[in-house]
Amino acid sequence: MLKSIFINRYTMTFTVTIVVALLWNLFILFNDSGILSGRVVDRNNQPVADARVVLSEKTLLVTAPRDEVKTDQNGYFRFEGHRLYHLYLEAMKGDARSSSSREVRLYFKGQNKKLKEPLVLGSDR
Amino acid sequence: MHRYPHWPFHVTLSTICALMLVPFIWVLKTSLTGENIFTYPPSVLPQDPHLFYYVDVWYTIPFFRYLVNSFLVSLIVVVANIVFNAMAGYALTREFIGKKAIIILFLSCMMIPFQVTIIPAYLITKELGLLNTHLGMALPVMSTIVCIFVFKASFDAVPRSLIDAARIDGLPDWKIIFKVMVPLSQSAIATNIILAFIWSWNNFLWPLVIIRDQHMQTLPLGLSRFLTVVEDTTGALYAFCIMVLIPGLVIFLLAQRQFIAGLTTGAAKG
Repeated sequence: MLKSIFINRYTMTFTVTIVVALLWNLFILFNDSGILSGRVVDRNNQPVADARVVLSEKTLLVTAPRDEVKTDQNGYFRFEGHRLYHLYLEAMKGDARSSSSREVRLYFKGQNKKLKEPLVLGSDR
Repeated sequence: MHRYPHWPFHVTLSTICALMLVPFIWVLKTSLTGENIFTYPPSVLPQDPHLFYYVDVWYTIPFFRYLVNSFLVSLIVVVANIVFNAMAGYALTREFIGKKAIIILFLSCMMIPFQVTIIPAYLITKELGLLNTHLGMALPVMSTIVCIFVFKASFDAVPRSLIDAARIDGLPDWKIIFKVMVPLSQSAIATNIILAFIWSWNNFLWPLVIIRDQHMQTLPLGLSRFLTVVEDTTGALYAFCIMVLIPGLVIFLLAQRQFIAGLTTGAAKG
């Protein structure tokens, strides 16, 4: 009797939905520090130090810059604490070399992500 | 007895089912790819599917707020429909003077579109102080005539002797309804739940008229707002449609057997 009350397609459907939602929120809780990291290289795949990396948000009308960091000696960069889910990254160096704007889409605001492909300076815009 | 082979029927029915599913699959595919609907040749399987359009929908508008509003209104509508329709359906199974006139009145009222009564409905809701509230949004669909007749058909199938026995045991009418008739009418309840939920869930015009606060909007209103703020709508719009569609679909799939039984109760009577 109790089994039929608690184990049926209605309770199972709603229980599974609630459990999935809870797990997803738990995952978000531990992965929403807004850390976005990656690397900047030149056309010869050599790391570019001291390059500016600009993080922008695309609004309805314009792409607005939100943050900016510089790469370290090995070409690595790291943003922290952003609250975006759809953003663009662009790398620039003082001698006017620039990478193409890279679109980054995330599954929730501030999702931690490490870019697999580096930003390439001097690539076509 | 000569038996016909079943496979031609099954093949025909399967083909028709597949054709009817095409629009739904198309919407689902576009929500995952954002592919232009005029792309030629059209692809059957999605190319590079992703869920980012769903993320866009979630964050572009206060989707969760709209979802909660829609659920609250639908919950009120479903509960009210079961209670009020069961009472009205039970009344119509009893004999009383003017019963036929009331049934004719009900059937006549079904022919009046809601758009015609929307101004009096608005004025009544305003007088009750229910503008811009969940209860106000639920008010016009808290009892529906179709569902009253679904309950009536189901209650007509309950043996009269059972009601008489309950009466002899001293049960008042409201207890006969909720302790005897309603438990025996699961298919009618399922039909009420599904129809009331879907009508409430898809209701656009009435919430549009009585809701002024942006945070009180429901999903259909959210859809119209969404179209005004999103530039490239194709993928996100289809994702929104899928997100609105899923709750109704789940409820229908869960209770479809009872739903069909509820609609056919009394159909073969006599």
